[in-house]
Amino acid sequence: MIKTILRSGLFIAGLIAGLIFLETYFQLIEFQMPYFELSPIQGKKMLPSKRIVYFGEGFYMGTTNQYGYLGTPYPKKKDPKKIRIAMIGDSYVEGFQLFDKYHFARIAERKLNLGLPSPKYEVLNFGVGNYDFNDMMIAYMNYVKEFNPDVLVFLVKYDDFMSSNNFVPSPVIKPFKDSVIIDYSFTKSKIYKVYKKLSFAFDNSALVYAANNAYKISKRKDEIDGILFDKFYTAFRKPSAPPEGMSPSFEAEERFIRSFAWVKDKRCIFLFRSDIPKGLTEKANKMNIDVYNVDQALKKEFTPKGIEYDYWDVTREHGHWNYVAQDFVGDYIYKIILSERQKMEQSKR
Amino acid sequence: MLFNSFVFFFFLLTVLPIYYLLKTKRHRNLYLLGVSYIFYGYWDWRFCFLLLASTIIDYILGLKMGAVTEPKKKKLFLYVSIIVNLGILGFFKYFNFFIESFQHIGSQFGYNVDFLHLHIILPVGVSFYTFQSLSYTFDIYKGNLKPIRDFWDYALFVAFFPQLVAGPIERAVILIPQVSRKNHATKQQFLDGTILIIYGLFKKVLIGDASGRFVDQIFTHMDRYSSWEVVFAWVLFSVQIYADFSGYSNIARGTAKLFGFELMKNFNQPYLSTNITEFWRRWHISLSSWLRDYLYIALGGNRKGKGRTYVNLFLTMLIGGLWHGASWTFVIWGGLHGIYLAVHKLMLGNKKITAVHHPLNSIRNVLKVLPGMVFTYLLVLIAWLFFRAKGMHDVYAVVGKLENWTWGTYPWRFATILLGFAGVSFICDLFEYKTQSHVFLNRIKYPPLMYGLLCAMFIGVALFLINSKPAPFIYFQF
Repeated sequence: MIKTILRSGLFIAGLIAGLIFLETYFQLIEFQMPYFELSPIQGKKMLPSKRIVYFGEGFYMGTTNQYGYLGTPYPKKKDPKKIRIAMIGDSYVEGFQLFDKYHFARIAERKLNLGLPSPKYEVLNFGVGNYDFNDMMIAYMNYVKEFNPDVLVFLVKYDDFMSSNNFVPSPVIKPFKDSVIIDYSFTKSKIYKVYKKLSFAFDNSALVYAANNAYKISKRKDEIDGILFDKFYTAFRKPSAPPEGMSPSFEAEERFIRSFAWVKDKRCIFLFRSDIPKGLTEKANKMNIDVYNVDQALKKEFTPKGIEYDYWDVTREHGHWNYVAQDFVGDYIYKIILSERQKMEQSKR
Repeated sequence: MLFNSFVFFFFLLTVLPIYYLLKTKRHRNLYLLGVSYIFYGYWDWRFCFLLLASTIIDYILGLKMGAVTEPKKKKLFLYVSIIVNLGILGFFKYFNFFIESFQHIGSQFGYNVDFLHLHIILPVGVSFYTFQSLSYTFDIYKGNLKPIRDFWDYALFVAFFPQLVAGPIERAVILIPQVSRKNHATKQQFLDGTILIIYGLFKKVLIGDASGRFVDQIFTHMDRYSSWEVVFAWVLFSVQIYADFSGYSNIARGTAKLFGFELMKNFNQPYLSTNITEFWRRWHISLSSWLRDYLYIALGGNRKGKGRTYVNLFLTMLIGGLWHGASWTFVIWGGLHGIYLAVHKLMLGNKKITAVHHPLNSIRNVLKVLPGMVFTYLLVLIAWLFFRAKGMHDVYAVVGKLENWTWGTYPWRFATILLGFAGVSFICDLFEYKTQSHVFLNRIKYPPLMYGLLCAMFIGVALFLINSKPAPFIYFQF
């Protein structure tokens, strides 16, 4: 009996020593460094001053700034002589496929500041991977707004405007009478409570972060079966049905349309990287929101030339916008802001 | 099937118990041969036909060679074996390389010779098994080995899956006696095999694959990275290739042990070598000793005077370079090592290197060997640039970066990451060096403590494999 206890104790000691070694090693080589927290008012949110190394289709190395967003740390108080643009969106805005200097937000900022006389521009990157329109709007209301942006650029796709089954507990925009409110009931969920109890480990340990990501992957059947069974899985896999909501007649949910009112006092731009939901442009325009389709522009520019703007040559994968597309989108945004500026200047005259 | 994949893990867990349920040697060998072909065919079933053809030809030639007594006829069969094996290798690996080089030379003189380019898929591991197969006919020719009568045993010698695609390139005299008997792993072999597999996975996945992600990204788009980041990738490549290959060899040896087979050590802490000759006794030992025994000595070795010795060394390494891949950068890599070895031989004169283990038990002893270790590492590092480069344009790009030095945005972070990878690899080497064993973990006094450590290592590997795609072994392309 004592022998068994002693053996078990030694095994656990070895396991713990091994895990501590792994944690130190992961921290040194920056593998799976945590940079998210679960905020009670925003859901998934970046932690301030965190190192990030990310390998997806490409390679990113950077940090979140002391304010908890990406890129140059512009403080909350805005210089009135400058124009501040907030980029809000998902992984496309987050841009973890290439270094910050090659990201379209930075390219647009450089172009605006080099090509135009003052006022100068500040572009703030509030992109967070997997954000849908619900998350973007809540992030704007509870976080981005504090930075007093003059222009809001939302990079969206059509299915951002439909209910998503998000694994990460988050606040939700809900209809309330003629308007909408934010429901924070997720803070009462079991998973959020567990997170809160263990938040120190979740927010700091690379090993816990890796385990958490592995757990999330294990919940996506297609992905985990592919990882585990490789060709044995892919050879016998039935072709999956197209995801719901792909129909061209798809309309945005009413609660999201109503939430447009939250941004009506700002210059707001929706950049679509997909088809636009039916009737959304008209409804957005009514709220002084301009709608553009950057995906169409990309296709028009690159498809005739045979250039794949989402192809990554190192990993040989299709995915997010690659370097050429980033240049194009940076320039596209620059031109939009430029035309807005010209319109404003003309109206002043 | 990649060793660093879950599918291999399931494959091994299925194959192993069935192997031990089989009673006779013949059944076990036939079964192992079958699963070896499944393992190989998992990449592309068409490759199996090439493997089978190579096996049949060398088996017949071996028998013929054993049946004749006349040296001339023996030689003839040996030549046929060499031509067939190198012909396979030449066609699949070097055909387009030579055609393109010929076209390039032609175009330099104003001739348009743009006539042929075949879309040939390089069969995985073809360089390894053709060399292993050749060692069989060479050994029979030299009289070191009698031809094997049982075709199935011979086929298993060529196709034995743990070492089929990336070595160690086993010698016929070592492996054939093993396939000719009934193998049953001892308790110690089981333990050592498991340790080797997990330790090998740790090196391959958590050092090799993890560092390779940085290296691949930076080397492919050097123009987008600073000088320091490019140098970081260059140095990191030296860590990556070592961890990748030695880790893989450990998994191969460990897997073989589980079936009761013993494969040779392929690496022996090469970056702790104090000179370049010692390096080649520690790096990819199965290939370097193959080249020494079947090429360098065949060329005359050191028996034809000093000048010829240097030329033979250079030629051996040049061909060794070409073995790695059909590209001029590999030829330069081999040539550089040939020059290093020839110069070292020249410096040594009649002195012979005997001891390759230096006791690192005191600061004085460490300081004594440190300059040699650092210098040797630097020589090897310079050559690695040619090995990693996709062409001479990559080499020029690195030189350009060195001329116009920039640090980039995160110099310290890159330094820390490099330190992390190199440091852990170095610590592993020190343990191996000190214990002269790849299974140093079983020296831990309390076995449960060791099992705990192994379990943690396996968790780390599994987490990496789920979160990142498994990277193919670098040497597969050879």
